[in-house]
Amino acid sequence: MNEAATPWQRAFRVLVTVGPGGLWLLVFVLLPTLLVLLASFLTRGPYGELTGPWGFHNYAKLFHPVYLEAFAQSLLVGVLATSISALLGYPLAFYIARHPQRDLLLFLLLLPFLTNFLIRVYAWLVLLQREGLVNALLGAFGLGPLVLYPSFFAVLLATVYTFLPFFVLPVYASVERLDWQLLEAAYDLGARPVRAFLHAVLPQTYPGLFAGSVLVFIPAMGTFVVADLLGAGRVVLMGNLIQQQFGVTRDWAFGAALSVFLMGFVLLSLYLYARLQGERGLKDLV
Amino acid sequence: MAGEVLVRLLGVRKGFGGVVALDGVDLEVRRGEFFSLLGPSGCGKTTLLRLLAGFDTPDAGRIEIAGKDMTGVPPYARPVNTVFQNYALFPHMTVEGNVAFGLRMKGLPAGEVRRKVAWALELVDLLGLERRYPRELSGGQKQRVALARALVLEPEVLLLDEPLSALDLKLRQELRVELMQLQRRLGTTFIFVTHDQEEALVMSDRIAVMRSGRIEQVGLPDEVYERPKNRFVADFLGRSNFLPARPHPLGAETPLGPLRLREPLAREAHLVIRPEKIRLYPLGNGVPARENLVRARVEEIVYTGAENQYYLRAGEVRLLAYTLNQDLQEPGAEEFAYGEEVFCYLPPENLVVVHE
Repeated sequence: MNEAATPWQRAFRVLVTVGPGGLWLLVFVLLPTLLVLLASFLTRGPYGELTGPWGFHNYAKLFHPVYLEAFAQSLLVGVLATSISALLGYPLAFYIARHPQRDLLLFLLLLPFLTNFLIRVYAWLVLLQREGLVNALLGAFGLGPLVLYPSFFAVLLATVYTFLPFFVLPVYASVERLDWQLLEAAYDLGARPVRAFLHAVLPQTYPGLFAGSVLVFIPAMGTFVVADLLGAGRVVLMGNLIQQQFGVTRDWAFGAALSVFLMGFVLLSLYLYARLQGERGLKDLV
Repeated sequence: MAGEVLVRLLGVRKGFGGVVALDGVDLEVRRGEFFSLLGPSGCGKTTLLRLLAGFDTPDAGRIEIAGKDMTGVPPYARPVNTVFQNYALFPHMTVEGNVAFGLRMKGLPAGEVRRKVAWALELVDLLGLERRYPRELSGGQKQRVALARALVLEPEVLLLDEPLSALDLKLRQELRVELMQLQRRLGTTFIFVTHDQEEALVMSDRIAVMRSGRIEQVGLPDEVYERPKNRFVADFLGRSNFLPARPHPLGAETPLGPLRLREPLAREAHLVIRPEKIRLYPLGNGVPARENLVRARVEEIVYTGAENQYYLRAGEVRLLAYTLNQDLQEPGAEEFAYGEEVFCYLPPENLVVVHE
């Protein structure tokens, strides 16, 4: 049947099968990205429109200390949020996977998503503000009040809170598939518990760890709502800068350059991270 | 077979949430033995192995290995290693990495690790596959890696949990022989769990037959087969004919009439006779013996290649008899047809008395 197909028939088949998905990618991923890339080389006009001249001037502006600091802050939030999520989420995933009521626990883990993200961030604001619940509790013990809001701490806390489930879920998936007999095999071959875990269990959860880190790191680097509300201007991340350029400042060209830079950085770090995981990591990435 | 006792179990009990898995097991395994734990699934044989490995702890009783009490000794400190049923190879390590794992855990220098790994891989005939990952190996090769990984640590006792059950028949038979040769060559004590009675009979120096958490009989393969202690052992190992029997001056009164035994029966019991011990004679050639002769009709014949299996009926009693498929020119070689009447001779020395 295949041998009989003319080139036209073959082209038709490709179009029918790959076509819809390809079109989707083209319209919603490729074109917008190209537009952003294009905009990043243009200049802001007097009324905020995009005009000539072309050039790299937007990228040159990135190296201004203000922007570098925002980038450093973003990176710090990304790295810290990912690390804290790993420290909390990895054991949590094991706990859930080995719990007899794991379906209930998974539901509870996802329960916050039923409430709007903004409302949940506002909730943290209420909890952490000067007259908030946390300070009231501290006050009961004769402590505080602490300035928890606005602060970098508050931003980090809410970021971890928001993205932790994205870390737990992929790790959970790999823990569920875990072959526990390998742990026994490691004991049997003379490994004490810690080394047995490191050699027999941990490597089996690498795919989950990798996916979880990526799912936390990328949004944590780019988020602006959390920093906006809980940093209240004191914490400025890349996300806030970009939002400002497209909003208040109306410098779309520079906003685009910031976006491209962030995107490039994230992609590069992903690639390097995957390289670290070896061949398999690269395959997972693709 | 008079070696020192290497593994000793005293009154070992183990239950899982109210279900008794081991119900007071006493057992001694001698140094250098190929010892099989044989029984149907759920009889506690795997539980026993796990207690020896240290993965589970007994509720009561004592386990000694090489003269040391194993109570509270974790798996990583025991002088035993395990070959798991589904191999449990580390999927992210190569063959070399898997075999070297235990040596590295011991902290051996790299040169010695390399030397020992090479020794173990040669032992199981896997040289050249060091760089392969478990997913790139066949079932038989994985099994050999699992063996090498355990044997490289030179354990006092090697525990094998149905290691051949996942392999196909041909490979299983080959590996049986290899395992036996390996065990003889190394002189390591093997404790081998299996539900396959043929495997146990072929491979073992001694067999313990288990049922519902208890050991029913321990003995040499021919002892356990020829002189089963009770009906369960007779039934589980190979096939048997059972006859209810009451005391009789000649020996025993059975549904087949009075039969002579080696010793007369003292109380009600069952007689067991293996199908291959029943001798068949054609009616015409005269009576071969005066006693223990039963007239029966051939109801079914099953040809298995090496032997013919005759399903016979004598009155209300059904009997199963095997005859070797020899050259018909040989004396004593006979073939019978459907519906033919034959004489069955039940030799007194092969009628085994068992109680429930």
